[in-house]
Amino acid sequence: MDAEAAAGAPADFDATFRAHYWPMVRSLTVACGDREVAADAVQDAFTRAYARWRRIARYDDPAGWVRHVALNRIRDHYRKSERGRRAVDRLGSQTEHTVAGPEPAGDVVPLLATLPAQQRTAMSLFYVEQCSVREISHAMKITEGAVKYHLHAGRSTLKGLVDAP
Amino acid sequence: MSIEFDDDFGFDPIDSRLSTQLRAAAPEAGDADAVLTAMRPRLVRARRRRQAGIVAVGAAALACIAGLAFAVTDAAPKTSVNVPPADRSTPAPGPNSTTAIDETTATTAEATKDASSDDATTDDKKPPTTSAPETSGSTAGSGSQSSGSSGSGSDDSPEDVGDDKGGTSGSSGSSGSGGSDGSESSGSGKDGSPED
Repeated sequence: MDAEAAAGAPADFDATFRAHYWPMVRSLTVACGDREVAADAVQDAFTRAYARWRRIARYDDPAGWVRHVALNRIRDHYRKSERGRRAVDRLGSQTEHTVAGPEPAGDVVPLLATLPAQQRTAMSLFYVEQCSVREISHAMKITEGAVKYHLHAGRSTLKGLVDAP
Repeated sequence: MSIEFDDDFGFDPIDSRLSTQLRAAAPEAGDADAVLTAMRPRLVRARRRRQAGIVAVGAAALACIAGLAFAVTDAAPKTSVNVPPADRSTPAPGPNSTTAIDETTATTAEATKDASSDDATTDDKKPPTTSAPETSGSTAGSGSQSSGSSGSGSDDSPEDVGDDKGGTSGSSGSSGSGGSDGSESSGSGKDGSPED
């Protein structure tokens, strides 16, 4: 705490970090399928928030800002990965590109991976981190109606798969 | 069938099952304090880097403003004109000649002024009946002054014929003694100058 006070950081950054770090990592791990990518994204988002904490601390939902930044980081990560994969394909490399999958923890995760990214993100934030529709809309920068649509579509898709024996 | 999502969980069995399975698929939560402690140097570096960036941007903005201001002020038209000093020995065309003319004009004006003042002094001394010849004398003095300032043919001027002082006064006219020249010319006029 002394080091933090010396650095001039607001006191509630630590509380925000402790309250939201692991829920974010867990939900984004389910969303993206890679725990390391999710943890890096959340840590990077908290790092950015720490540098701007004097301003972000005045927000209504500072954790929402962090969640939004982390989602963008994950999106950028997979966008770069996709560009790299396409570049390798263009070069004619025959090496098979493998993406680290999610940790084997349940049957629903492979099913979740079949959903579009928006639905997968909304589902993971809603069911894992237990975010509200408003928080999800803030994190994904879409309207609450769009969040409800994605949740409804993902839920309808997974319903038959989960119910199947 | 429309399903409305809200913040309540468990309103439908499928939601409970999805929530349970997805949360089970998520990694276990660890110690946030340990992560925060490990991240502390990274956080401090990020803050310092951001502050340094802000300072650098501010300095760059100030430098740009200063450079722009300097460029604007430097691009303004000059208010002064550099004129080379007049060379009396070798008259040259252009600015020098203009300067020489200006000097001549200035000297002539000065000589006329001095002559007028001397005339006024003379007028105080002399009776009004001799004021007309003195006026012509002062005019002759100024004429010899102008010819003297030109520096050529002053000795041959009709006003100075027969009077060595006239030539001397012509050459010394530029020194501003035209007033005395005028009086001398008037004196020489009394002594029998060509005008008289």
